[in-house]
Amino acid sequence: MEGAGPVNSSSVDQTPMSNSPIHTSPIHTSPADGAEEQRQGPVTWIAVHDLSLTGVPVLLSRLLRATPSSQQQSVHVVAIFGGPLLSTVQALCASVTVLEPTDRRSLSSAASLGFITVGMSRAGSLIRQAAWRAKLMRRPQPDVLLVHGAGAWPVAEVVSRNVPIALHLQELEIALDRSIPLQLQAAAFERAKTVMTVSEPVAQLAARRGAQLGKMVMMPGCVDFADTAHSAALEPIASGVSEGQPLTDGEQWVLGAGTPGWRKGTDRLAAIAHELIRSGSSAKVGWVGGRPQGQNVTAIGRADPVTWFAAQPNPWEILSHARVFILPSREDPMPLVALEAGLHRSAVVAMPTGGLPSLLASGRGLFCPSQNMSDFVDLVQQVLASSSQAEEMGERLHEYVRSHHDVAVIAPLWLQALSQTAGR
Amino acid sequence: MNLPSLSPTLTFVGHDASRTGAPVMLLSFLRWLQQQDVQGTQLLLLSGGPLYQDYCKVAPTQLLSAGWANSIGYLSSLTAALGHPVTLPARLQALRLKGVPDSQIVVANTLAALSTAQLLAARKARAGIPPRLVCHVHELDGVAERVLPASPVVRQELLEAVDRFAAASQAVATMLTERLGIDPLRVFVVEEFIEPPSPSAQSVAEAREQMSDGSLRPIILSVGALSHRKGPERFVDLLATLQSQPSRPRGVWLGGQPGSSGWLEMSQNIVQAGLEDSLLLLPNTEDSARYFAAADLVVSTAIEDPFPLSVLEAAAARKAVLGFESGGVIDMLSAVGHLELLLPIGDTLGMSAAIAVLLNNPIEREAVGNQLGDWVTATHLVEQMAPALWKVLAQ
Repeated sequence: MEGAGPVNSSSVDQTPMSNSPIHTSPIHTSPADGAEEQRQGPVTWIAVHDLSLTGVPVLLSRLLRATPSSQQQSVHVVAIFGGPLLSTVQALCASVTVLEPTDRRSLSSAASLGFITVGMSRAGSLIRQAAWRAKLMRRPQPDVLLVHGAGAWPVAEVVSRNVPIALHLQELEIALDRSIPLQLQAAAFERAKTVMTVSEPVAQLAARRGAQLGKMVMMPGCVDFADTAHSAALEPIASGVSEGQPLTDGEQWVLGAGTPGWRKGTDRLAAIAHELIRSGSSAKVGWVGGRPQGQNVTAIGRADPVTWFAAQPNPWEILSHARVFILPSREDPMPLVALEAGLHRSAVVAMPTGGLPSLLASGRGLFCPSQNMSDFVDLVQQVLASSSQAEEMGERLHEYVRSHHDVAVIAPLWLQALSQTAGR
Repeated sequence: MNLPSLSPTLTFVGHDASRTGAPVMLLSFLRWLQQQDVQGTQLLLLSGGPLYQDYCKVAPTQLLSAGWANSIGYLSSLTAALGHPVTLPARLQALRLKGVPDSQIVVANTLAALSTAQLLAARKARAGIPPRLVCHVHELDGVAERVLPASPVVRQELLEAVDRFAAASQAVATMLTERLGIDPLRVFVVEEFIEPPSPSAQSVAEAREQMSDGSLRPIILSVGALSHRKGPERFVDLLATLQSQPSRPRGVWLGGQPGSSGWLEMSQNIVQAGLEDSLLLLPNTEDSARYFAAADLVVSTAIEDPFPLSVLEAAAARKAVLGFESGGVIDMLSAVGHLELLLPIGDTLGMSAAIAVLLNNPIEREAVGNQLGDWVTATHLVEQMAPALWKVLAQ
């Protein structure tokens, strides 16, 4: 069964996991209350793949929080899937429309999949688009569509071709190819009026896949120096992992954070832990964000040298105990957690992916010249051996993030890019 | 082994006909039964694959996904996808099995095939003659968790319906008894086995040429599907660290499907690690024996593997094998007294160091390979293990 159909935009539904696909923000008032007059700026639809507590939606919530409230009233978020950030985002915009349920397939999605499975791709796409259009028909028509992350590109297919699009690209190769089929990427970049990228390697990738240089704007991730409570990328989720133990400053911890998996390189933690043990180090290796699941599940019935902490309300309560904050990622365009490490003055050791080498250059952190685990562990040991180096790196990163990645710096640029895309 | 002239009739249920461990081993076993002139075996496949024609040559084979019967399965999948899983009455589900003749023994070749095998056995039981239900378990915890019913009650009912379990390794038996709560008296360890490989000298030379690209660098081979369980990303990490070795070994990953998401991910890994001239990715092949014979070392980077046939095939080719301590690799390396080649799961750098030792000591490497070759030839070929499996199934 699908969720209930569209409701009048003036109704108020503050229940985060309500069956209704449309959630109207408490800040929204009906036209009768004069909201139209208060509204400033173009009507902006922001499409996002989901509202999970991961980098792409968290960045959106930070940018929206820094948006003047008068402009928030012009923003309508369209999420393909919901998630725990729904209530947060609801409070920061005029409305949130969730297109698909997260715990099952909608009838339209199942029908669409059925057609695609039997080779009738066009019919499958039309069914899904019709269902989504029906859910969005009561939203005010957009002056501009921001596709926040390539995973939300399917939403672009249900808006008029006359609506200008800004694509905020936050993916590298594997994630981009999974979000937009390779053969459709050139057309997508052609259609986008503006292509924002979170790091230089993402910009280079976009250029290789057909984006014109004149359209591209660098729009990196950000943290909020004025509100550290909201700058944690991870908030509570029911991960079922509860083996985290209290940390003490008497122990040396090598810690990382994020969604476990190939992309974040969590399979590499065991290699790091075993090598540290072999070298006689007493440092412990841990990860905040839960234990690997599915095909990545490891060591059932065997000893596991890694401590897996569940996702935390404030992960930096644990992560701040790290002598070394590690990013063993294979593909990470510009991880917000690296910026948060700067906020918390942590010493960072990273693999050379996405924007990390630029972020950590000039002594702001350490990164490998290539994806080499032996080099990575050497760098971790280097930092473990020198607390002064760790402090110095943390301080430099802090200052750099403050001047380059504070939301107070980034949000005005983001709003300006949206306004320019809308032609205002 | 002399099998009784009047053997019981057997129906094997396989989850697919892919060129992967459990289906390949079943094919070896069916071929052996055919050689023993055992009558009355048949095979029911839940889905097809490249081994289908081979199966048809050794036993009457029926593909369950063909025809209208699959629509009931599709209905179940659809209702589950919609978030309202409907447990169809067993009689309705059993309609899918209407054309399958009865037999005295039903064998699920994997846990993934057990639900269907159980339906088949239950149908016969209703007729008053309960057949024996045997499950040959080729899975460890992670996969078992995915393929068994999620409901604890349904899962327990299913497992309790099984008369005997054949476990593919000691690790599998431990999972069954300690973590799935099955009575040890119902569990029999029958380790995986292979048919003796016999690649021609020319095919081996061609494989060497293909893998080495004309260089004299040593070749480290890993074979398996491009799934995270098999650890292709760890193989890339391994090769990256080994590039500091004077011999700069080349790595070859044999397995996977060009264009698949795993293939693209692996290709990207190779580029990111700067290993374009040091790591070769080759697709699945029916003729893997020549690659084993042409390699210098074989590694298993799997983080969970009940008993990979690839390590048995490597041993049969008299190659030294290293692996993470999961499943049958433990049994194999323990049997030949080379525990130093068994690394903790995920210890890529430890494996790299152990490989370096063998690369720098070809005499030791050859000695290990010969020990493994002697062991597998003496104990794990089809003629040694198939009778033991037959005993569990039929006696």
